[in-house]
Formats: sequence, structure tokens, C-alpha cells
Amino acid sequence: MGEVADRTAERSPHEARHETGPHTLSVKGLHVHYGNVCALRDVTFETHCGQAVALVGANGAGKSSLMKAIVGLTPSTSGTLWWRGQPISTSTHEIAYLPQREKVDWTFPVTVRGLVEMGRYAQVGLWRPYRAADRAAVERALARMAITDIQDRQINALSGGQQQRAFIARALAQEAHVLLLDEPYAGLDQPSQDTLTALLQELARQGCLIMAAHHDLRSVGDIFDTVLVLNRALIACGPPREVMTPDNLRKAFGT
Amino acid sequence: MSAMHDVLGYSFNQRAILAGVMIGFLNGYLGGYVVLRRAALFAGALSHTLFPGIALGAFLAGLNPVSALVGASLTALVVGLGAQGMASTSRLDHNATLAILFTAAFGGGLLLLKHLGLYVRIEDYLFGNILGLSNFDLWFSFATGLGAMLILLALQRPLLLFLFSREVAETQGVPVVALDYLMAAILVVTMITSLQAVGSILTLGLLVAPASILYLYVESPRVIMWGGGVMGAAVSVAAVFLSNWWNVQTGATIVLMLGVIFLVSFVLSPQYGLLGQALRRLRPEHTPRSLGAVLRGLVRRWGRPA
Repeated sequence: MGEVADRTAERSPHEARHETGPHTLSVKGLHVHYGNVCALRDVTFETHCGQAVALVGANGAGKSSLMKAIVGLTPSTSGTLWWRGQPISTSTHEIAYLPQREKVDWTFPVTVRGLVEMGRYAQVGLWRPYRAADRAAVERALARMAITDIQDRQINALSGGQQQRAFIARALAQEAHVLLLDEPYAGLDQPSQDTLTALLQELARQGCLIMAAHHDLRSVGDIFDTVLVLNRALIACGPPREVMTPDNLRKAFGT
Repeated sequence: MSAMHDVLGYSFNQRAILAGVMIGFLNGYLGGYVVLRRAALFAGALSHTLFPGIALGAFLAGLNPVSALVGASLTALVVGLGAQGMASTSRLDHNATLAILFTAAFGGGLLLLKHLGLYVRIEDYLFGNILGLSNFDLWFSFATGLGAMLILLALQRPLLLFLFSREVAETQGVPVVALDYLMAAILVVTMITSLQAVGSILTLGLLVAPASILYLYVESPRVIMWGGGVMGAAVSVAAVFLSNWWNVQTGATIVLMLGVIFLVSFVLSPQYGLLGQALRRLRPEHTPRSLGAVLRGLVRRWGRPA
């Protein structure tokens, strides 16, 4: 009996919540505006956890805008965004947004562990002291991203791949179910890219929904199982082999 | 010892020391937020809107701490929000609109004070007069300082997320816009509190310098804030004594001392100082970990025969 209990404790919170089937992220008729500029027009698609989704498109095609709209960071948004059958009206700890690495102030004085602990904000709130469960969540996140041994290092002393993993660990400590990553592969060397791919695919297998803006069209099919092609509107959505056609890519990148 | 006794013998000096501890601590602690938020320039602009704000308050309700607080908050709000609004609706950026608005307000304040016949006291407002504090001023400092500290302590978790990444904090449910306004409000209140002691221009140094100095040495936001508070208080008290003995202005002495400590740290900080960085470039395998290690490394280098 003890063995069963142990195994339950080892399972991540995502897996535990999947017994009723996969959870769906549904976007319907999404429009995003910045002032007079229309960043996204009438985007509709549906995806569910367990998938690794690439957002593909030229600069300014609306990849970041789509992710920011999902977490509620865009000021002028219309359309409906549903997660697990509920409108995403307020920020929820189940959806984590990971900004581009270059947009983050890596000189900020915080250790890797401190960064990951920030993920627990939704659970601990203003006052509640850190409990064993919070520490366990942080340690589990560090271990899953293989950064336990560098947890006391300052974030300004990390390599690009370690920075990316530290941010993912923060999202895992948050118990996020959906990870939205803005250009996670940008600026990483090949070994770090391979490590990141293995980790993202592992997370998807364990029941996370991974969505990432991605630049490198050659590697899309190796990393992701679904592709959204964007050009201020949705051009195509589906498995890489079906979607990455010359016609679609011309619509996305052509002049 | 008797020199110290001489200073402490006067009640205005006793009040100055108390004020130095409270104002120095509050500014130094709050400075941690300003430095980590990279908002020193914004704080500088805000400090210049205090003066026209006080003129406005005096014009409307006479010269007293409450009218000064209300007037300064009003002008800070108008200038801060106005600059933000103009930046988002024109091709100018926030720094430009802020610079135009706060200098215009400053000029307006000058003319208004002249019109009110309060012009002679302008030096006190610009540079402060810590020896001229009344008991009421002290209580005012204590109450506002305590209030500001309690709010900052209560909100330290969301504030840390906010300081590190505004965007990510917002997705985690941190009310970033409210925190922006709250921090600006606490800045204005702290500056008003510091005004009579160190003046509207020098208050910026007391706010930004201690945390910046510690930022060159340590890696923990908490140490930067609390340490900044302790340094602000210690330097303020030391400056009260020194300025007494040398018969010079206290506010100027405080920021000058902080400036000297900053320059020394800028050169000698083991991790981020000029010398430490140079030593690391020369001998990358030996990372100096302390001030002593930096100095020993230097002695070794200079002592080595050519």
C-alpha cells in the first residue's frame, strides 16, 4: 500500500488531473489590436494538452501576440479564449508565459532557486509561509529540468540553455499546465537545443500543452507535433507534414 | 568625546540625528526598489516635481506639510501620467515628455513661489535644512516612514515578481498597474518626508546611492534593501556630526559622503568593481572574492619584478 501512495506522490500534478481525458485550449475569433495596428485577425483553433505546438510565421506575424492574448497581456483583445471549458478571464496559474530570453533582465540579483520559487506566488500569496508542499514543488521542478545542482547560482552566471530551463522550472513550480514559450530556441547552441527538445517533448508526454514561437523551419517537424502558421491571421493548423507546404509557407513568408 | 557631547547637547541636533536615522533608513530601503526597477531617472523627475507641487500647495492652502504633500502628489500625478499619456500618443518617448513636463512645472513653481513672496526659502526646499526640523516634522517623518515600510513589507512577494519581470508577474496575477501607482505614491510621500531634511534635489542621492552601492557587492534583493536602509541611516547620522564639526550643510554632506562611498565601491568591489574585473581579465583562474583579495591581488601584481 505504501508503494501505491509513493507512486501517487511522485506523479506530477498534471498527470494526476488527467484522469478525465485531455484538457482543451480553444481560441475562437480572436482579434488583437495595438492602437490602429491589427496584429491578429479572426484566429480560431483548438488544441489540447499532450501536444507540442509550434507557432510559425515571419516577424510581426502575431506569434507573440497570440501567446500574450492567451495570458491576457494584450490590451485590446476580442474573441473567446477557453481553457478546460471555462473562459480564461483572469490570470490562472495553469497557464505560464515564458518571455523571450533577451527580454528578461538576467542581471537581476536572484538565484536559480529564487527564480523557481517565484512560480509559487499563486499558491503562497502575500503572507502564507512556504510549506513542505511548496518546497517539494520547487525541488521537483528543479529536478525535472536537471538544474538542482546549480540552484544556488545567480541567474547572471547561467548559460542560455540553463536560463531557459530555469524559466521552465519556474512554470512547473507554478503547476502550469500550459507553457507558452516565446522563441525558446533563439540563441541556444546545438547541445542546449537538443536538451531543450528532449525536455519539452517529455513535458508534452507527461500531459503539458507546449506552445512555442519558433523560427527555424527545418527543425519544426523534429520538435513539434502540431504547427500553427500565422501571418496576422491563421494560415494553417495541423501536423507539420500536412501544414508545412510550399503554398502555406508562401502565404506566411512570401511578399 | 567632548566634541560628540557638544553636538548632542542641542535639541535641534538631537532631532537632526533622529530624522537622519528615519529618513536615511526609509530612503535607503526604498532605494532598493528604485534601483532594481531601473527607475532612478523616473525618481529624479519625480523629485523635481516636488518643488512646484509645494508652491501649488502653498498657493492653495498656505505653506505646511499637509498642503505640501497634497500639492506635490498632484503635480507628480499630473506630470507622471501626462508624460506617459503623451508618450503613448505621439512619436516622442517617455524620457523626452517627462523631461519637458517636469522642467516646465519646475519653472512654473519658481514663478509661483516668487509671486507668493516665499522665494527666500527656496534654498531650504532645494537643499534642505535638517537642523530646522520641529517635533511635528519628526512625527510626520516617523508616521509616513512607518506607513511606507509596512506597505512595502506586506507586499514584498508581489513586488519582487514585479521588479524582476513586469510581464511575467502580470500573468501570475500580480496587479502590476496598481503596484506601479503605489510605488510612485510611496516615492512621493518619502520624498516629501525627506524634503525638509535634505531638500528636493539631494533626496534623490539619498534614495538611489545606498542601494546602488550595495548592488555592487551583494546578490540578494533583501540585503540590498535592508542594507541600503542601514547605510542610509548610518551615513545620515555621521553627516550630522561631520557637518556640525565642519560647519557645513548637512544635506550636502550626506549625499557627498554617499558619492564618495559609491566611487570607492565602483573601483574596489570584488565582483563588479573596476579593479576586480581587471584582475579577473589578467588572471581568470583567480576570482577575487573579497575586498582583501582584490587588494592582495594588486599588491602581488605590483610587487612582482618586471
